[in-house]
Amino acid sequence: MIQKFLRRLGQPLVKFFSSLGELSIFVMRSVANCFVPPFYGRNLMRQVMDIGFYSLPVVGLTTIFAGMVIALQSYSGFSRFGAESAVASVVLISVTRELAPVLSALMVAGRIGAAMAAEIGTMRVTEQIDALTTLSTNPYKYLITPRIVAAVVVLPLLVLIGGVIGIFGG
Amino acid sequence: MSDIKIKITNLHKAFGRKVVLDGLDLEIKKGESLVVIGGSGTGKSVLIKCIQGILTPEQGSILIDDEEVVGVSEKEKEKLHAKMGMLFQGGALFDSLSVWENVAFGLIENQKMDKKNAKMEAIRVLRQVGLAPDVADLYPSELSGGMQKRVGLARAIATRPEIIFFDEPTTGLDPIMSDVINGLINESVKGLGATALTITHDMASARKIADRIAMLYKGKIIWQGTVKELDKTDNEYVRQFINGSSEGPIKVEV
Repeated sequence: MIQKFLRRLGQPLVKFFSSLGELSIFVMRSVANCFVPPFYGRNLMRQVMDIGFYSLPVVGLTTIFAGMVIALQSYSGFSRFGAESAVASVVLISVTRELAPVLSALMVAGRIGAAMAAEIGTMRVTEQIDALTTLSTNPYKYLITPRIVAAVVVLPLLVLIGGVIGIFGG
Repeated sequence: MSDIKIKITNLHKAFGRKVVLDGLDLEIKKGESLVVIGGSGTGKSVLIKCIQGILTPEQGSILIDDEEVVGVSEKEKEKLHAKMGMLFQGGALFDSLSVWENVAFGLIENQKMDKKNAKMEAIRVLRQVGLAPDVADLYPSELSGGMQKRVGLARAIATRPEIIFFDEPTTGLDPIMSDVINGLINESVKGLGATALTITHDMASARKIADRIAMLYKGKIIWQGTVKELDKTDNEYVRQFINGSSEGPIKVEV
């Protein structure tokens, strides 16, 4: 009885920690590979385009509406106290400090995360990743590293642009 | 130097509780074309992946050119892969790259050939497998199954490897196209003087490609010999397999 109970408790726990371990190893290998040649410049540029440029419309759209909504709502509240002049600075602070980073990150994570999972999943199933290995190319360096570097480089830029658009919206 | 290219001894590989390879022994001579036959799910692909180091076996040793392959570092593996070419079952062409970039992948990434020469070389290899130069700029998704196989073959031989693996090269092709691909495989293997290891369950293909045939059953090599010996053998397992009969010692587990 007790043994059965403990087993039931232990199994998911072991599974949880083993997947946590796998994830850590994956992250370690990916980050380590960012600093070890060979680098794949072409793949990096493609990811920068994919993650950065093609995310602009979504990021722009969400931040512009966020800016508009904040301006509208804070105006309706502030006008009761005759503090309309504070609307601009409220929009500025809330967009740049909170909304632009959160919204850009969410949009990119949603849009790009799904796309990457689908793409790399397909490559796995159709043996393209094995094919990379047999062509003596490290799949981590070829596939994962460019994506991570691109995301790290591009996200702040997206936040910046998102902030500008959001303020403009406000 | 012995004339044995690949020597596998006592190889074990299991996935969880399912034992796939169970003490497999196999030798492949230099310049030989060996075909491994066996039913679906008997571990033929696993065998190739173990030799390439994509999967790590639990036990056993694999020697390539008298050097141990099991358990070597990533760097060593990359060096090892430079000696190998592989034709995948579904082609496994990179669909974000054009045909010539696929073929020249190994040349550009590993042998550091510049793009112009690599493209010329790719077109030369493509012609060798019977594809016109204007195919070079297409993308894999625009090709038929037979053409994809040819491009896969071109990619496998472009780096002039010493060992070439063929994973079910004729699956999904009509009999005539299969024969064409078999012919191309023979030509390219002999042309390079490479050692070839093919896994298949297509007997026509096996007869055409093989210098020697080995049969894999329950994780072990249960029979090996030349094509001539294959027809004369009284091994019941082999007889059942080449006759394609559901009755005999091999029971299909559903």
